[in-house]
Amino acid sequence: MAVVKMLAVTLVGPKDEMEYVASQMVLMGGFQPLSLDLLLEDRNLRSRVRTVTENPYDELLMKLAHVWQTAGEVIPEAVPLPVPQDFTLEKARFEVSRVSGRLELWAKRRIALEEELEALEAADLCVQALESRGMSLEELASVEHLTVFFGKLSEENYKRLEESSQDVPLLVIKLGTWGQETWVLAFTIRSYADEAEKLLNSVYFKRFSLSDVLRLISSSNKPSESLEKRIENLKRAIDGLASAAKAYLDKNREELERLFSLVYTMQRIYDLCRGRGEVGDMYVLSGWIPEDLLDHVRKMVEEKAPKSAILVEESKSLPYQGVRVPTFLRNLPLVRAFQDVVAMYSLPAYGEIDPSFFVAVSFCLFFGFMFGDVGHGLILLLAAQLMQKRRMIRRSLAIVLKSAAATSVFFGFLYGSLFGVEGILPALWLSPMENMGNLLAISVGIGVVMVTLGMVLNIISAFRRRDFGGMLFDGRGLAGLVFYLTCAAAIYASFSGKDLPIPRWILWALIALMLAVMLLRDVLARYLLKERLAPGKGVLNAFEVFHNLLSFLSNTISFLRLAAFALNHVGLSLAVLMLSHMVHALPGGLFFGVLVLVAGNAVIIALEGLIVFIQTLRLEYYEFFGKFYKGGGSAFRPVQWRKDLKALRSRSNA
Amino acid sequence: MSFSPLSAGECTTVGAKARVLYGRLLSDMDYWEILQCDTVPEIADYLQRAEGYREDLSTLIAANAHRAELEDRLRAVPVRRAKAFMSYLSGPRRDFLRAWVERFQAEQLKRVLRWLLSGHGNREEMRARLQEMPLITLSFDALLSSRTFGEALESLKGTAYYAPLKEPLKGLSEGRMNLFPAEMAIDALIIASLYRTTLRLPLLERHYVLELVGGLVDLLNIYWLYRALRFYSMGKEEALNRLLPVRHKARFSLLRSLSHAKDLDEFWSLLKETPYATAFGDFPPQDELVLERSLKRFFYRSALRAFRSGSPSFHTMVAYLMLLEFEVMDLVTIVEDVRYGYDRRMGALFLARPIIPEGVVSWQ
Repeated sequence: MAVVKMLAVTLVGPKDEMEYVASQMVLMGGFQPLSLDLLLEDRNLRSRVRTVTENPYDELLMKLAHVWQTAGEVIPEAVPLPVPQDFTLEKARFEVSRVSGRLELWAKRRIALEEELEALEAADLCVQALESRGMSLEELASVEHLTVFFGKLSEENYKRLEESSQDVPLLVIKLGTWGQETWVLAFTIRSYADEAEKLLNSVYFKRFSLSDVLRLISSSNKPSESLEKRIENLKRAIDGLASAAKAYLDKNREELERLFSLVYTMQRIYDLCRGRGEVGDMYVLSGWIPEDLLDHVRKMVEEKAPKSAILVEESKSLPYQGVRVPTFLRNLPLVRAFQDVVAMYSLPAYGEIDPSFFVAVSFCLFFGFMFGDVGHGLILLLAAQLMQKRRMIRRSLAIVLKSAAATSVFFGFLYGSLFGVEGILPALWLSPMENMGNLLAISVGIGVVMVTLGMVLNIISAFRRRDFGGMLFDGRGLAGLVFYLTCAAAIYASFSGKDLPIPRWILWALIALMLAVMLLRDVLARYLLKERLAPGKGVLNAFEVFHNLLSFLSNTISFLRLAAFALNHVGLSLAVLMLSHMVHALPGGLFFGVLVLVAGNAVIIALEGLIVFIQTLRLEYYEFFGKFYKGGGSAFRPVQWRKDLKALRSRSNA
Repeated sequence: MSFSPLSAGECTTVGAKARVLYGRLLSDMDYWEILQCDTVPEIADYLQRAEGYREDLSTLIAANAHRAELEDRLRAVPVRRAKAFMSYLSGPRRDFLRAWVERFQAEQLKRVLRWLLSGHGNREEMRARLQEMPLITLSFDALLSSRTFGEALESLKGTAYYAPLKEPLKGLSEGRMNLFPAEMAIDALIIASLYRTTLRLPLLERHYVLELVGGLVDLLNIYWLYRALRFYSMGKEEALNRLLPVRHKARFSLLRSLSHAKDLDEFWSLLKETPYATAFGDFPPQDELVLERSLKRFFYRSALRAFRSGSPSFHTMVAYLMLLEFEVMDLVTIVEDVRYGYDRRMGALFLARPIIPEGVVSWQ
């Protein structure tokens, strides 16, 4: 359980080895590219390195995806394929253009047919609209003193045209709206024709010539019938072209899917290479890898790309100190789900302690303690399983919920509580209502343990940062810890009436000494450890000590909520039982009694479960994390296999 | 009117967050400090130390910072902040925020179209910058791979941009039109959609937001008519046709009267009767820069007023985002002033934030 150590690796070699090296990095799945700008401090060297960001396979992939789009199918799942050495960019281009060339030809033909269809449909619509208004197309086409416009525009633009044409010699007649398009006839005087055309152009009016319409219907006695017949034929031809694409895809599916996967693999490889540097015939590829992958990468480079060299740098030796090293957490499978609980607060910064394990243990403990009930826990467990199965919640959240529910069942046995009823099951440990005092004492004890753990982790963090002053003399360091534990021991002794193995005056002396150490933190760090500190922080430190003293008390007392919510759970369950008994005496009492029981328990599980969940998070984030955790890390994002497929697929669906 | 504890919780959360983030905006003193920088890297270095920009510029190497690079990083800041609010919102409030940030994506789309037309600029640099921008939903990879406007249009299929851009891009492909109609179509789509989502906000949250967005709609319409009158040889009706398809307080009758104004004096006398008379400053303007400054300051003051109004709620977030946008706009202006060696005091006169002569009273 830890934040995995990361290494900045730079691969340098001849360009002909780049594709292989990059493909191995993609298939390995643990390489996050790093901009060369961040690595090359030397501006002279930087100016000589050309950064290449284009991906030549983007375009090829789009063209190939078009094959499935034309056939009206969803783009297939790409599978990672070992790319043959002879599958060069030129070959890929040739293969893709061979496939897409034929489809492009069909697409062009289809566009031409669609344009023809549009003209025929416009003619049909014009004829029908004029007939219904008792107007003659021949007369309209031959008017001398007017200019007639026939065409379509969007509904929104039609409204604009209606508004703007109020004061000009332009008469606009709406013929009807079909689909999202409005068809109109517009009349204007000859002298205003040019202005009218500009006006119509400004609303993107698509004009159809009336003489063209006349020509289309001139050869037939029954123009409407003839037009409809031709429209049908054209539609059939367009459908035929679409089904040809489908037939072509069906016939060559296997080959096309393989080509798609190959091009997709190459596209991912070049995505990794995006931002690579080139100097003459050499490539430079930099990025982060987890430390344990280094041997694998070295071996691969030595065996398969012998002319390439691998340079490894640790984060401390990078030229720019501001570079943020990505955080990669590695934990046991169950603990991994709790990484999301930590990430919800903030991801650990690189080098910081990963609290996921402590969170996993304490989260389950707190939840079970507050919501201990065999029946409620089991229902919560089933609900979490169901929601995970139906993909209503993420897997990690489902695991967190199930773990919390399992400890709820465990504590239910300890409390002897089944759906809030005590007595059915024997209490293996204690009954919350009967042992209230013990429960409160235990919850404060848990608080002391958690606050202590938080401070111990802070001491470790300070040691790692080489902040020895903070580690020894700070309120959250060793001095604070001794102070806190001494106070806790003194309070325990006075409440329990027990004697401690050391005299009381030593306790008080230790408390006073530690308080003095905390107040003089900066002075001690400067004189004893020779640390250089920023001046003028004396007053601030006094306030910090005061704040720490208060937080010792408030953080510990805050854990009383563990007992409070355990009691609350019993209380609520009792209230539901009492309500159920009260309605029992009414007509239909049995039914209403059961109804109140079911509804009441549902409310307890949903509402109280949610509140306990929030309280658990609060204890983790505020009382525990507040002692040692900063966060602010950025996640390690290696080049992923299926990054762009989603975008392609959404385009296809659209 | 719809009210629920959940929506009240959403509004209070984003309102409180906006107030906290407002505290991270630059002070007038910061503005002066930045104006005194001599180079772009100095500005980058200063901003990297400012609380409001530290995180966003953390991966920028200040010593090597280039003007365009810094400007692009800065322009992405308002979208990043908006994204931070997104997870708290649902329903019409979330729709509004989506429509709000869509303006930034639309700007990128216009940029790609300009690049496609002119052929100037580095495609890969644009691609890299787009990767910095959050909440991108268009397939910019496909757009940047386009060789023609037809291909670009094909890449937009299935998006809201396809229908309004169909004819303008076709006209552009055939050489019948320039880029102007396409840009106007994008603006019309985005601003109209923003205004419509504003109208769908629950009544309690709509008031201040509608004042801001409605003001934006009206001023864009009026400003367009002013430009048509002053600079373009365009028919009155054509100018009216190019207006946004939505209106707030400036109704069609007013806009028609403005479009029919014979000269700027008549335009001004008509405008004087509207709530937007002060937005244009001294009129007729002698200098376009002064006019633009007046408009920016009108919006800035409106946003500040909205931010200070009422208890923290949804409108506080919108006003904060608007103020942040103006701050970024000012920073971009200053970066350009510094890069090209303009007089800084003159530059300060044209910023949205009125830091000359006495500036605004700092308030949190």
